Amino acid sequence: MTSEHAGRALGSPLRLTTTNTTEAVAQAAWSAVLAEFAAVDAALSNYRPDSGVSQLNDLAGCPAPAPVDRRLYTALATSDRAWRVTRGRFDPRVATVLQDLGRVGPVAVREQPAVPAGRATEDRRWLHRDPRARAIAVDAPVDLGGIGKGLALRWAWRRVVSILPGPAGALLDAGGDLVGRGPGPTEAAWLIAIEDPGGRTDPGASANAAAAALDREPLAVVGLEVGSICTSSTRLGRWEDRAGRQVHHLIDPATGQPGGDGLRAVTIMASDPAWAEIRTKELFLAGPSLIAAIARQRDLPCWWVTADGTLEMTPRARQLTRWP
Amino acid sequence: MTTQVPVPRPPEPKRPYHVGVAIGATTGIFAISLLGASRVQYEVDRALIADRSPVERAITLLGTHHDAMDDEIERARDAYGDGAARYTAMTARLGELEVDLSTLSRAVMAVERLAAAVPASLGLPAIPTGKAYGGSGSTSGTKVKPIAAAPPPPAAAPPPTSGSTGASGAP
Repeated sequence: MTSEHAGRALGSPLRLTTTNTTEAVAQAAWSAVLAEFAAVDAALSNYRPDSGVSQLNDLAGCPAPAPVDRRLYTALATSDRAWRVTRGRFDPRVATVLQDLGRVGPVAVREQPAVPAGRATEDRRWLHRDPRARAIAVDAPVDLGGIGKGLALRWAWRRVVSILPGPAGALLDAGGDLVGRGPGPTEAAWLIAIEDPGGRTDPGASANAAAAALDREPLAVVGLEVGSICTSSTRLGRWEDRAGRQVHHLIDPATGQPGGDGLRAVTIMASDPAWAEIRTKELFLAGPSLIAAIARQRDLPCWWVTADGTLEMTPRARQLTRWP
Repeated sequence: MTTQVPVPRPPEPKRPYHVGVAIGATTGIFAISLLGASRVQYEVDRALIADRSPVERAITLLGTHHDAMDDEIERARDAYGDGAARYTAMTARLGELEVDLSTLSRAVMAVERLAAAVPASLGLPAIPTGKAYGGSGSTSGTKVKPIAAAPPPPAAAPPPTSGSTGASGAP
């Protein structure tokens, strides 16, 4: 039996689809997902002034670590590791930059001294932890939009898996980032469409046409047996800065400006949704000249769309592609 | 006749033998006590040395082990340096290979797109016979249909999906 529950969380649609299980079990799993996303929102949302991260941002620059929620602690610790592993391409300290570029919505952060370019290679840590007290201090305000949804998916998925019986399949979709395990409704894997970020039917479509995106023909269809699939795209998250220039939310920490010139979207399949999200950011900012090499080096199934709308993929991704 | 009266000998001076004895005795006693003290000291020192010898052996052993460990670390450092150099060379070569494979992948995709555009079969017209071929002179009145390639088959529609990955959040 296939069951579907839908709602909204973290500013995006949220949907849980289950197979081979009863409605009662599916409902219990859905309740657990909603509870987990609500907890993540309370801890990691930059759009709430009462969230843990907003309160921590108010203390940015203070040397003394402040006690934080365990989810916020984990999010920042993971962000710190991602910053080191990606050599600075993933950097959550972009809150001030996004604010200066005129992004509206998130809670305002205090102005900080400009971080010099090239900090990705510096050995200086920006995060100071006290594990015993679960306390953290940050040198600059952070924006957890690049990892928050992935972590929410990770934690919610753990609860779903603990509730579902063994043969049951499930797919948790948080507005374009998904995690799941088979079987799907018709076969062993879930078939997932990779969205066309430009829209073949209307290449000049504005962001307001986003609602029709799901009706557009996808660029590819891939099979997800177990794991997660995430996308970083500039189709949404665009606005005009104070100078009237079109900017987007994927900031290159090395330059302090929107990065990934030459790319429109990057999709990664990985076992963990948080790291899938991190890798999409890293590879998007690597640009079209390096994305193939880095993806192969990390043995990642990766699909990316160049500025002219061409879909390219790694050999591992080709094995998972069902269409075209 | 005379009688000789023995001249009385003068009394012998008293010699203080007791002093000598006393001195000798005290000297002897002192010597004996000194000997005893020396023996005691000797025993104490020997015991101290015996107590310390395991510590000294341990210190010597520690020094030996430290030297051996130093050598091991030095060998490990050299091995690590060699490994790092080989890894760097291999990484560079792998980077080149990946670029080549990416180029190959793009070429394969282009070929596949072309292959998909080629029709699976061509409908060839029948070969015309009669006056147009083998007759004398006139070719008028007989028209040869031009060969037309069959239209390419329509691209297969994407299968139904359970979800879509792409941009998220409010526009």
